[in-house]
Amino acid sequence: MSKDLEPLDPDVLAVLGQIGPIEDVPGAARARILQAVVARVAMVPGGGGGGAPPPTSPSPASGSWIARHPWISLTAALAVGGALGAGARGRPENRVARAPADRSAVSAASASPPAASAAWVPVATPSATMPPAPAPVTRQATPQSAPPRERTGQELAAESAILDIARTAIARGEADHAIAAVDRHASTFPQGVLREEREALGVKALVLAGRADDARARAAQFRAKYPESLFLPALDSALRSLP
Amino acid sequence: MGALQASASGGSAASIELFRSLFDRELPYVWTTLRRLGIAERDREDLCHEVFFRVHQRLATYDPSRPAKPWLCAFAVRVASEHRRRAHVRSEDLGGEDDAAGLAVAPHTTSEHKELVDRALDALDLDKRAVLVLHDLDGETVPEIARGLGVPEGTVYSRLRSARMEFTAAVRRLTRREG
Repeated sequence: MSKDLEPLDPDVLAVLGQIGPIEDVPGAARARILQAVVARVAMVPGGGGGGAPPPTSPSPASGSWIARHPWISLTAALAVGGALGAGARGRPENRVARAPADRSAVSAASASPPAASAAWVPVATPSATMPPAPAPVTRQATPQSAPPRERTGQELAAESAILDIARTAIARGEADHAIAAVDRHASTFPQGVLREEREALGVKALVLAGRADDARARAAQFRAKYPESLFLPALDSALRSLP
Repeated sequence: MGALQASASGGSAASIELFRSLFDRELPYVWTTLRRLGIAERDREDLCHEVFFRVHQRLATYDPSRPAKPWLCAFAVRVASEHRRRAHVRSEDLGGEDDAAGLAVAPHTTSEHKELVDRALDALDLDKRAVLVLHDLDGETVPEIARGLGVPEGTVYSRLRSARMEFTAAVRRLTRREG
């Protein structure tokens, strides 16, 4: 395997850079995509629709059907308001519906605002230590005037930005930076939506730092709190690398 | 328990949160990556839906301690590849135009520069294009790209090397002809 790579010529690199940044997804498109995924998952045997698809076209507007599929109601509540019915009537291949009526419906109910700017990310002083059970702190950065749904989207983006730092640091083998980012998330968003992911990253960061006892203790806390977590296999694998 | 948990290795409500966080966080990336892979605007919603449906189905294979983008890009590449193979997709939607014609005008505006880069990328096959996008645009490392795409690191280096050469040649060809 040769790692000798010729870099792109500066002018060609400049051309490549003209491709533009990551694009925002229009709110209506975002809602339609999520609707289509939700509807399709519900139709997949073993994929959450309770096995076989409903005998007729699923009627997610039905209270009883929703009651048996709480994840759909959760998704609908978070993302598309009550407009799920429109998304479940896709063609066999579940092409994303784009009827004008759907567009207006989901636009009105669309929940996911554009990603918050990095400037919103609350800044906390990084710490080199990572308490196993961070004490909740009062967050001051949430705009008082923001509607709850928008605030949730902004917070998620901010949470995500911090955990991205931790993830990248782990990938680069920079344990201290990863721990600092995890600490920062814990102090800024003690009950954040991504707290489970944060705790998993915390364990991985401790493993990376060679803090075996701390890693095992934190992993045990994680396992107790999230016994069915999807992160557990990855954590177990990381723990096995400890001496 | 609902669909998400059932299909994500018997997970918990964490599965819902994980999928939602991936969707909310990475949809713009998948959306943009599909365009960078040459998917026409009108097909992007459908293919985004397909990518995230597959992400949901394979959620148990996601390692949250690793960068998500190479993992997601692998889904996008597969979906885009299948899309390309569909008989009903017209060649012009796939960036299959003959770039030998060069650009109609010299690239001066943003849209003209975008046309140039899009057409130069069209000269690459999808595997090379994906590696170039991941490495030279997204800044992912070769080991992470290899892990995400499920190929050896040597393959990533090889594809990247070829991609850079072919992209450079295409840019030179396109800009020479317009000049």
